[in-house]
Amino acid sequence: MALLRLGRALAVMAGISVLVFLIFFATPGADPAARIAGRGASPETLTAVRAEFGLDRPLPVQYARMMQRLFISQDLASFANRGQLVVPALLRAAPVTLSLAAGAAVLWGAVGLAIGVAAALRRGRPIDRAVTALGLLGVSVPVFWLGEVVNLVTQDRGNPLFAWVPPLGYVPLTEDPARWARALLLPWATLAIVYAGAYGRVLRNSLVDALDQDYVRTARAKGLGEPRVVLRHALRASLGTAVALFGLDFGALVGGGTLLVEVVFGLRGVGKLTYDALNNLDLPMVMAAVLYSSLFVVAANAAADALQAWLDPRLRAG
Amino acid sequence: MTNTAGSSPRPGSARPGAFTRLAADRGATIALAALALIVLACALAPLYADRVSRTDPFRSNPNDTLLLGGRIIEVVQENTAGLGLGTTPLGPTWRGAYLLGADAQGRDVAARVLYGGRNSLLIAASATALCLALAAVAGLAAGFAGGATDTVLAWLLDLLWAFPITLLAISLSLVLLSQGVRLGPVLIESDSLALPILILGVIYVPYVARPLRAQVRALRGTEFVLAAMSLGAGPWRVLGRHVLPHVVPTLVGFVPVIMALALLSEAALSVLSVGVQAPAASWGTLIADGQALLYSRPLVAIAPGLAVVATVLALNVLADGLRDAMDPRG
Amino acid sequence: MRLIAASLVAALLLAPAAPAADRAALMAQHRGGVIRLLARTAAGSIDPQVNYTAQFWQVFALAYDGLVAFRKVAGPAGREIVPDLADAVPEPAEGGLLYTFRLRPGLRFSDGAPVRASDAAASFRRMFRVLSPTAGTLYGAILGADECLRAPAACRLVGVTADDAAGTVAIRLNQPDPEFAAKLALPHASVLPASAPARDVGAAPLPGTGPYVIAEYDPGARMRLVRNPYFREWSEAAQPDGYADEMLYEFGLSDEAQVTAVLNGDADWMFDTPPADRLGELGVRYAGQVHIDPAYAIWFLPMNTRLRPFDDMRVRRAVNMAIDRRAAVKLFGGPRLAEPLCQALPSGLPGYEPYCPYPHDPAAARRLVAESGAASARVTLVTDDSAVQRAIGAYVLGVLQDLGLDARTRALSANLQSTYIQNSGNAVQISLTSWYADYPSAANILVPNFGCAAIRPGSDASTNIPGICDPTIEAAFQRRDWAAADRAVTDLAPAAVLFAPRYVNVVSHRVGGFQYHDQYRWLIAQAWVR
Repeated sequence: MALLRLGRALAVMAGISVLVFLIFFATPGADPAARIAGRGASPETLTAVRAEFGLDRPLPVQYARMMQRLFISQDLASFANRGQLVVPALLRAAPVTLSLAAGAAVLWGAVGLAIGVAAALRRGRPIDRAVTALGLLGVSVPVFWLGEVVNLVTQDRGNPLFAWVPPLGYVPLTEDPARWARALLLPWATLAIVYAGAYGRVLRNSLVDALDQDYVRTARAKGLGEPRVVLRHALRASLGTAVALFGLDFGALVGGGTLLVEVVFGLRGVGKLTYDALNNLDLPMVMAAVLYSSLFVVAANAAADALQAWLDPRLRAG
Repeated sequence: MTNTAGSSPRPGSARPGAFTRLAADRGATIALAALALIVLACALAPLYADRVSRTDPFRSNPNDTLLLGGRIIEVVQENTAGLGLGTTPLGPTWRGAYLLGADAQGRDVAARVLYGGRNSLLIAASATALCLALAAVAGLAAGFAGGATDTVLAWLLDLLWAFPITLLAISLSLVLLSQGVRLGPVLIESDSLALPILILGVIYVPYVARPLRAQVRALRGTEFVLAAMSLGAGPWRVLGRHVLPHVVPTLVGFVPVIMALALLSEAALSVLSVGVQAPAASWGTLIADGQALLYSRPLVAIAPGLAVVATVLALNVLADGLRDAMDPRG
Repeated sequence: MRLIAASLVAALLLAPAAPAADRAALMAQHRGGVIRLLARTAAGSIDPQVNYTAQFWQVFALAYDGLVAFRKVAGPAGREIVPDLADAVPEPAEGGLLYTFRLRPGLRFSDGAPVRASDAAASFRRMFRVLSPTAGTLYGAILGADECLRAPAACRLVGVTADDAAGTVAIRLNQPDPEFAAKLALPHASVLPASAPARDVGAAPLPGTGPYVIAEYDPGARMRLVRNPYFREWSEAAQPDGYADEMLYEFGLSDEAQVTAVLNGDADWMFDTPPADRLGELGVRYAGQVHIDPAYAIWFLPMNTRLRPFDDMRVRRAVNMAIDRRAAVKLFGGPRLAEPLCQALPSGLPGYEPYCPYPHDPAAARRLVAESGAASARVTLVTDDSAVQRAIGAYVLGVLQDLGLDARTRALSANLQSTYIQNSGNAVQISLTSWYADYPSAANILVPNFGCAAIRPGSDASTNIPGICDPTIEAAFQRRDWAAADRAVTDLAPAAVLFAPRYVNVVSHRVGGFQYHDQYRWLIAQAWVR
């Protein structure tokens, strides 16, 4: 079963890499030789550059060489910034994206949990409706646009309210944890706004379902208070859906789903790297970034499936 | 999502109930009305542009002038204070022409938001239709046929899902932008709306096709389908009579969801310069253009952004209502 | 009024460099600190013989030297060629064919090795071996260059010889080149150790001779320059010592975020042009931190003279007459940032004589198009996807449509567009592009853009985008009569020139001693932050 999964994931990633490769070579103007060589380079220079980068070889050979240099010798270099090795560049960018996604996840997890439980406890009351409305509003906002508006308001030094907001950019956690958190607080909040309400709603709905179940009724009949019933018994049973969803969303974010947020907040993570590489049509970097990100998506999918199967044995047969 | 296991062989009877329930849902009714209003406003864009604003929202006219409050002013003014750097477009007049001000090219922002809405809604609706059609075919084929078809389709869906959506869109659009794409005898031009429709229609196929496939597989295993097949009913007949009626409500439930996603993605793609080509506009391209004016005239980016938020919110509320209406337990 | 204000700013910048005594006092007072620079992206390889970007040429001026240099002072005096590693700028002998340089004694590279004449000669060979983009276009006159271009790996470059004992380097040309000395001052002619590998070193810095060395370079994040321990000032004119101890160049912020950082004092300078909607604020609240300087560049619409409808000169002239250059300037950021222009040479360059046969006359332009029978021809304008280019593109689109053409636009990613429009295989009819001169020279604008030699069919590097090859223009090139060449180009209208842009430099409030140089741009080493 696990082997089968692994095989499928590998097949998917192989397909993706071939697809990226073919799209690149089908794109007119993608030939990087002139961009590598510089403005007004002579035809002889272009030919020599193409030869140096192996661009004059047949496509299957180029593909095989690229995969070999990406995975085995790990010395694949960028087309746009000659000498920049893509694997180390990706590894340097990964902590930024990871910090962004993890912090946002903690934030939206905590907020989602709190408002979900609150709404379930006060079913039909204003707070319940507010959670529903917030959830719907959160998923309706274009996240990059929200980020732009946040920057517009908070980057103005004239406003004493936001004097604490640091300049855009990233500070490594190992360098200064306090500044790390301060630099990421607004990006975290921006991302969390999109997810927190949605998770609150998912949790609220499964909690409401669980509260109608027999074992909860039993607990209630035993005279336990409602908050205790919810927290002790219903919550554990209803976390499943939210956790599975969480895996998918988190995987997608770590894989580069934070692209626009990174661009907007000037964070040099995997998303920003990908964005620059795409703007340059820098095939080696695009290839590495796409495979990296699909790895996370595939892994998150597998993890979510496994988790759900574990939670609900009926699904295992499928 | 929908009640599948052990449903009655004739689910059609459940539908009137769903409609009644939807009509009784106040949130959904308001959302529907809001959507109708937005669509109507966008449909009437020419009315505003021709009769009220009297400007061409697609022509760049940085040297135009406007009679405002008895004075003739330039729509895009050169700054004269200090070193005299840069230009500033007209701010919101809050009446008649240039209701929301002008953009950097001296075009009426309000008119462009209305016209942009037409393209955005058209793209989102068409992409949704395309997506659901493709997803229905893929989901039904994979779920019903099983075997090799299922394996290949499942692999394709996985591939599409794991291929990062933004990257897929950028790659596709780069290829398409620079030369258009030929599908048999049809040449899709780089500046046609077909491109964003195609991109947005394809990327969300797995989102719909995967649950659909699971549903069809579950249906295929139910007693009434097995019984029908053992009685000699052909696969098409089984599909038409016993599977499709269950699948259609699922698809209907996806309509507002996909449309909302398509609207959001259209906006995101436009920021990456993928999508509707100038001088045509969509909400996404308007936000992208407005970013260049975010500090001096924030409304140019905020107005189309709010239009997206309002529309997507209405669609999400509607989706919520639909889900509740079709699943009476909720 | 505006003109007066502009010349006032110019006059301030032309103030002569501080006398030696003052400079020593300033150095004592301001030496030290870190200058923080910003740019949207890195600019690729840091091999000074390979990189061909304005962004890193500015950095190379801090770390590398050629035999000669432009005098490092602001204003017109900065056009003077002064001896750098060489002890004098020689008069060419043998009818302009032989240049003999003698190296200054006691020079060292940043790794401590002495600079020898053979290092200089090897650097010229290396230029061809590493496929330097200008090897053919700028240095093709060196004897033996042809063989080196054909077979770079085996390049011997017979025209360049060195005598280590005498410390002399002799360069022999196969035809006189009046601008050769200026070309030797460009980074591609930097003197590097003879041991430098014969390939593009990419992100690994090579030893240099300037006051700073590149200590760290990660194209995805930052570049750090620190003092060169072996640097001893040998010529204040060519390579003065710097004030700051360190320069930190960070990449990755958007233009908008860069301005905010500079204005907030979180950084000292941004390479990119500040976004248009911040200009008003800059001009009012931060006027003292803004510097506007000439760029020796043109923004123009090349029209493909080999494709319909622009193969008809009347249509090309009609475009020139239909465009309101004031509108284009407005979209670029207003009249202080650019000067409307309808000829190929911007003002301020040698050879510039005002000439504009195309008054703004849309009606006459429409008549010309109707006469040519090109009305309703289909035309696609290719711009890049930057905000400015998209804005100007939208304006030009309206102009083309008014001319009766069936016009549309396409925006391509900025990094692809410039090579895409050069390739005749892509059949681009009209595009929007710009040309920034490598050094302040009329030849460097006219020859690459409108000379026959710059046409390379089917190549991504074919800078003569209109594909124009005209005997009148070539004859004026031969006579080095740039005003005549400019007029001939303007009359044939292979392009519609829009304006000559100016550079906007924004520095933080900490920066003192800002000087702008025509070639090296902001002289970073000559400014201080404490």
